[in-house]
Amino acid sequence: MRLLTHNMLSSNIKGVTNGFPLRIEVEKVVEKQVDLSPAFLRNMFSKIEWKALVDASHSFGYAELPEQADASMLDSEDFLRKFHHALLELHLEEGALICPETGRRFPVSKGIPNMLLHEDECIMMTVDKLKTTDPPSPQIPGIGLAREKALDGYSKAVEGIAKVKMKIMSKRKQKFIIWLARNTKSSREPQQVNLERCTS
Amino acid sequence: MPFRTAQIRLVSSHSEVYEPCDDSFALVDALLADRSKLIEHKPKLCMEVGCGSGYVITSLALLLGQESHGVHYFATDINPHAVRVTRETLEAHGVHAELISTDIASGLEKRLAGLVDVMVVNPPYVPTPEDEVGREGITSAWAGGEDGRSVIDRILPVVDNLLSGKGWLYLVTLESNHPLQLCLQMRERGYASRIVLQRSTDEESLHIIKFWRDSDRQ
Repeated sequence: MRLLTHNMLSSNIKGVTNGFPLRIEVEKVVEKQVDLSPAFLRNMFSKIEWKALVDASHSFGYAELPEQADASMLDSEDFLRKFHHALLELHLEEGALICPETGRRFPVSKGIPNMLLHEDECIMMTVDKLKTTDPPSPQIPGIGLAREKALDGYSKAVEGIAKVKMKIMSKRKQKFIIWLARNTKSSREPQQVNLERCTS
Repeated sequence: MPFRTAQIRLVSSHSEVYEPCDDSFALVDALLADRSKLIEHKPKLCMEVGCGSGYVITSLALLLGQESHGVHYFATDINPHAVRVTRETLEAHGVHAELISTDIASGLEKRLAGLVDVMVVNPPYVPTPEDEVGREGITSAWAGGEDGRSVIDRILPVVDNLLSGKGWLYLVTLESNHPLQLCLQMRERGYASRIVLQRSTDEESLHIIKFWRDSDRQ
């Protein structure tokens, strides 16, 4: 994760009003050289929260950025190089981002921040969840019932699903096999099927 | 000479991650066909929502060029396995995108608003019972709820918010998602649209729709 991304991320927890900038917990920073594009830097400069970038670069141990910056500095090659280095060449490989308001920790692993929330932390999803008791959608007759039965382990119902599903999502043919493997097993049973093999 | 796109043999995989299939190829073909326009468009930031195996974002990065051209890429997926696989696919092709495990663009919506010049989305568009939507793992790659529209209808307002004034969206849809209705809905948000590629495979009729803000005269 580059500091460009850090500068674009805010805490997405429901009810948080001051979710930017995320505090950085550093475990491992890596440096990767990147070609400098003055056009990109000039274009991005006005979109960057400068103080957040300076503080974040400090947490990476990089102290070359000036505390204040304005657009006139973009003519300086020296400034561009430092801006470029901080924004694009330093990566948080391992660590975490911390919500400034709640202290919630978003882990960063292999350079990838995980911003996924638990259900009680987010606003979305609830709509989907409410619909779970809905009758099966009309274009898939019998699918709801078939699924019920399949979950109970009736092999006939599985065949029924297979037919309906093949028609509807045969595009996901390779994945259908996985779907079938899962839905014919009791959800309480641990997954034993080697799914990789199923796809090939 | 054909232009470079991601190579299948270099695309990483995982049992919980959707592998490139007809829909992915159709989207990349649409981007290829639009290549000269995309280059003229001079995007600064490009983004993919739902990057899966990374085949599409890698192809886009190969088509448009990397940092030296001043183009940067973001990609998200709700499935953390997919984001890791995307990283491997990108690395195998020597290109880079900033990756985030998140629901659509959650966490980016405030600060990245109005900055994305090219957005590509191959959403979970397969009509399924609603209770399959929002499940973990590979199901998130296809389960689209009623008419396959549950996730698409959540993605479009987010895309509208993230796209810059000159922003373009390439969206994969299926006949059963009612692409015409989608175009009309986006029209109300001020977007013009065109079906840039239509392809009937054995099993489905794919439409790749390109959207752009109406003020942008093409």
